Amino acid sequence: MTRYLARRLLEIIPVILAIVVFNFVLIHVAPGDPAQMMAGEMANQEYVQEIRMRYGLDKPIYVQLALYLANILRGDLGYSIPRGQPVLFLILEKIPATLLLVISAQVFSVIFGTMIGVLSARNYGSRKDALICFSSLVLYSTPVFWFGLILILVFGVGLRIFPIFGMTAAEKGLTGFAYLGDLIWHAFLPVMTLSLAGLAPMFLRLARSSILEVMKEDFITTARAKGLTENVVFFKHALRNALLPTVTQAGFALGFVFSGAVMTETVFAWPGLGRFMMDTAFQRDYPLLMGMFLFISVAVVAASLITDIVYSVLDPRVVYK
Amino acid sequence: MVLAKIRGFFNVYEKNRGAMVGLAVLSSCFAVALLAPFISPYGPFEWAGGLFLPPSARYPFGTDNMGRDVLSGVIWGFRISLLFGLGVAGISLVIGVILGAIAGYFGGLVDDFLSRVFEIYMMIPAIFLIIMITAIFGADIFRTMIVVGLTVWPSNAKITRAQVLTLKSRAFVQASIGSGMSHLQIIYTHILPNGIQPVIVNSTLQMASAIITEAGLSFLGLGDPNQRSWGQMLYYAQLSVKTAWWMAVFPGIAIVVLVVAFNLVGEGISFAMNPKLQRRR
Repeated sequence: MTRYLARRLLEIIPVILAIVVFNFVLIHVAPGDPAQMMAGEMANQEYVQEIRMRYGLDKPIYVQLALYLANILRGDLGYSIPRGQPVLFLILEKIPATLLLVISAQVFSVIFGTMIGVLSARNYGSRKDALICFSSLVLYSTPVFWFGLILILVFGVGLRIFPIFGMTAAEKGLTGFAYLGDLIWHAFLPVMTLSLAGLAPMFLRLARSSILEVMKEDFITTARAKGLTENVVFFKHALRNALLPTVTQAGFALGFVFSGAVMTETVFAWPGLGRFMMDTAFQRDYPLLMGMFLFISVAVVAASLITDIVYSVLDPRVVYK
Repeated sequence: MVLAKIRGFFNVYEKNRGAMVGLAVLSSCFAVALLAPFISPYGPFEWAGGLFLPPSARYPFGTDNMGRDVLSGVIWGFRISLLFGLGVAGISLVIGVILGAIAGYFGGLVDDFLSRVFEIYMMIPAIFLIIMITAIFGADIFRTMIVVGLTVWPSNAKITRAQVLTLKSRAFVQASIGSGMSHLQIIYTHILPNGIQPVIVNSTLQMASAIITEAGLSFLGLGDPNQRSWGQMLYYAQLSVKTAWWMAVFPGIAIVVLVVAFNLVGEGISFAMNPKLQRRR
């Protein structure tokens, strides 16, 4: 197990390296002076000069790459001039809001999607199954941002029962349970948007198809032949095996969830990383933009690593090599 | 033989009602895109006669914040979305099939290296990459198409690789290796025609997701300002969501209809090509 872990950890190094090198190439391919680019458009000449020295931008290209890597490994993702803060600090500040959104949506989607998927599979071939399949296909094909816009139209503008932007009503200065209630009230539409348009249908289809797959296995026939009731066969034998792919998907979907979060945060003015990234993109704050790309990529890679490990613990058939 | 194969494929495909509806809708979408100049009441950017006019007989989908007809925008938008989808899927198909075939056919170190490349590529969160590139280089629909195409090919590569690996050990391929055919000839005449089906299914699905990606980028304000795409229409709709619901509703419905049609056709093809799935019915 230790060897397996070590090998998997070693495997993420090339991925991170690839992303860092990609950022590096982008800095040099982009029009204009790389030093200006790394300092940010609003930087003054002194700071640009300092960046040029620190990253050795007057030295040969491989020295530049080495210095760039060294700076990132030290945790120095650069400095954002327009915001007057280190990039890493700015990112960490925005993370909680995004995590709240992403984790709530993920948990809701896995539970809700799987439940409906089970319902669908148990009624395989019926009209109910067909209806569920079609609805999930439509929701799966709906762009996250448009779904959010429609929810805003219906529940925010039309019925006026949910707030349409922000994370809290800061002006009210709520504390304790009142604050929590306010937070849930604000989070409801964004979480529903992120879940229902794409994420939940994905888990629904996955659960349905893997249950149908597992039901054809020999051990199900054996369980039935033993005289077990259909419910015991389904919940004790089939479901537990059928849920393994869901675990994998929950981890690997993180990149997908993050991109949905960018859209959702933009539509609902949710103060997280995604919305922050869009603001940054329009301000051409390149150090911040690249820092965020690196940060999110590492998060996605780390999530897939953790998924692999969780999976190997859950499924005894996986052999550690 | 090829004709018989296609006929056999259609015999199964046409029994799938959802897939047939998808095909009909998709064909209509292509027709609308082709005939846009003739059926659209106004040009995509043309002044139609008033700001924020609600849906009426004259303007079935209303008009927008710049007095442009929403129906005309939706009609012209089919062109942009379909072209974008086809372009992305095409780029992804070419790169994916070539690299996947090389990895699967030659195996060994080449395969180890390429497979690692596919995996690394798949882990990079594409949307952030695209946002960053668009922010740095500016928005242009063809550049965006190329960038999106360059980020989605690994799935095609992985599928092709797996197909080539299974086909390579089959007797007819082994026989042609023994008979001295060149590698390229074998890949081209024996392996690809027999193994391309899942790649085609994947391409259909990639067109669907490319259309959503383009709409999303335009919605975020990173679209090509010179193209009135559905995403761009929704970008303006968001700004006036309290005054003009019609601006938000219709372009979105167009996206959903087109994407559902692509997904239905994709499912239909995969069903018709996969005997295993058919037996389950």
